[in-house]
Amino acid sequence: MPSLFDKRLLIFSGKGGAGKTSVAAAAAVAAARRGKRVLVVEIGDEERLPSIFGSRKKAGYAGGPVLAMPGAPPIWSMCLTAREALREFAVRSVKFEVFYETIFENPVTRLFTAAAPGLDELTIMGKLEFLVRDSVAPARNGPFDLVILDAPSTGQGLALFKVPLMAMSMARMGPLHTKAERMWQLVADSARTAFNIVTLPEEMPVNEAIDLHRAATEMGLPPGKLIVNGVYPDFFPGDEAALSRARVRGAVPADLPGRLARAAVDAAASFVTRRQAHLALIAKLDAAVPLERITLPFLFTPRIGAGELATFADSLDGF
Amino acid sequence: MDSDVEIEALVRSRNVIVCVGSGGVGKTTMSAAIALKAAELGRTVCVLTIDPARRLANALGLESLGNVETVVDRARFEAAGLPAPAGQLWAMTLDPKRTWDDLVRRFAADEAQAQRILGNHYYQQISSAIAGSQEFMAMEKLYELHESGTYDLIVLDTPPARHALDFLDAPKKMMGFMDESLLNILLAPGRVGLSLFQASGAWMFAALQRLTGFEVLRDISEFVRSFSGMHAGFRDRAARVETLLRASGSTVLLVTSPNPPTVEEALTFRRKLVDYGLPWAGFIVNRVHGSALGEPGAAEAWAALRQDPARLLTGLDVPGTPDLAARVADNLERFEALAQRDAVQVDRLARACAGPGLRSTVPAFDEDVHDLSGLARINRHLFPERNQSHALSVHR
Repeated sequence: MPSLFDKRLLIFSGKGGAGKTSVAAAAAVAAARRGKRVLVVEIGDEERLPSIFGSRKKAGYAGGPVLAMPGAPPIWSMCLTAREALREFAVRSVKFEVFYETIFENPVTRLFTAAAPGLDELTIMGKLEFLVRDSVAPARNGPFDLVILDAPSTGQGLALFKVPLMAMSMARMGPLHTKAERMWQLVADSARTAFNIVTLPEEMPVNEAIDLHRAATEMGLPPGKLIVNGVYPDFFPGDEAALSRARVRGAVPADLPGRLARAAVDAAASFVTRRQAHLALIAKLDAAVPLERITLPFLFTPRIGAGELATFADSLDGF
Repeated sequence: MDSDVEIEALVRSRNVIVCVGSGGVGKTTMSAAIALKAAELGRTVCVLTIDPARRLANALGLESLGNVETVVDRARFEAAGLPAPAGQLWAMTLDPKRTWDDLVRRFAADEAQAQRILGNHYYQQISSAIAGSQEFMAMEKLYELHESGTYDLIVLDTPPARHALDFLDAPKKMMGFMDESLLNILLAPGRVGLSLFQASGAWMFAALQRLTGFEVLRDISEFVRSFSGMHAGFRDRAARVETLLRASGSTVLLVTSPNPPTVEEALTFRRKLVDYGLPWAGFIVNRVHGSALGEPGAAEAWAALRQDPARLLTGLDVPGTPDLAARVADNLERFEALAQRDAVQVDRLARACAGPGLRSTVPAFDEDVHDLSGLARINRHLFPERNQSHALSVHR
């Protein structure tokens, strides 16, 4: 099976809070370890990627290096906003900045473009397509091998990829149709693109992942991997039943050491219960989502940093 | 945790409670739990959810119906081992597309206008798919339910958002777009005499047309024109929603998890809510890990136990594998580290939000909450039984 990291565009989507941004960052680390020149792209006003990579400098719309690992190409990140993407597109298509000022900085146009439903998604998709076409090898002198997109969460994420289809059906010919078609051809091309789903081993995220996979398949997005994040590791192999029994047995001791011992056993039993719930939900996912699954461990650290990214990247390495 | 605002007082007295926060923090569950409490307190309450977990939806009787309020009947309380509430608990899942359609029918001058809009290509795309549509319709539904006068309290679970005010801004943006005066200037297909913006207007039209093709402009301009006369109604309604949200009967609760990045987002949310003049009442921190080593002397006692972990399992008759006791000890310490992290974050929230406010924490449970008894369990933490212990001491 060809590696995930030989694609040109890796999309990571899933429910909010499932850890898409961390997983996208870890995928960048795993790709860079293989010598890939990676650009990770996030969308929105609040830039989160550089700090996850441990960089104090923001990368902004222009993008910039955020992590240099020894012996690997530097990882870049970029933070897209629809407003800047529209400006870039307009300047590029009308060629002269002065026309841009006349047309797009006109108060009426500004109001219109700020409000037109779907336009934000369309310009972001346009920028993404341009990035892959212009900056990713085999593009001439393309500075990157791979673009990783930290996509918006489920509902909004699908809306983003639906917009080119919507534009194609509205404009049945002409430049908009051509452009939208090019966007769609990129995201739908299984040779270049993979649509990956990130989820947690909890009921709602699991159901949402199942729905997302179904919707993405219906749309024709090329299947990638299913990443289950935050799974409790197997700390008590063989002792599960004993711990669960110990929990229900006996009264709470009166002395402090006795109570602490009790709390420790309860915490272990509780861990076992939750791990079993995780496994049951993973089984449910496996039954419903026919994608290769990657499991990432729950991290008992206060915050995702370089060490945690490396741990995640280890888990992603073989894919 | 000390809280100078009683959530129970809010639930007893308010007409609207809006739960906001980042995705994945448990807004829907908290909204449903608050609504359950209100019903127990004798109020007629409706919880308006956006996307409930399937089993929670089932527990509330929402499995098939969208956009219609459903009462949670006595049998469901009985099945959950709960007494029937003094009030009534209603629930509804928002269906944005249907809410749009209803709104169009309500404001259309006649059936022909309604059909023109409902059949418009662009309308069909934006009413179902586009971000912002959901927020617009959540606000619309909130207002409609409030205006119906049926409920003492409406609890709104807002769509997951990266920006705190999406649920207010998205409607405004969309209204701005539907303002026909704007479109009249921008798109006047086939007309001459763009007097005011003539030069740039013509430029724009040419540029847009070159880019999009004629039919797109036609669809969009038809869409906006078909709303002719309805815009004032929409705008009026949006203004009323805002007035309702700022009114003293309304309150906004911020739900967050104790994860550091989520807490950062929560603080940004809170600042924006306050700047906007919304009646922010406090926060609920969900899935907080508790410490087992909190009491005086516990740390020292634990350190002593740690020297000889086998003592952890004495008397429990646990026939474990050889180093089980050591692993049980490691496990507790891992969760203690999480508990410490969570305590730091909860404290950080409290310090960042000066002045009176609700400060509630709900612990991390072993299982996901997906039924009425689970909601009741959350409520034992959200609404600690101060009144009851007080009542007991009075009776004694």
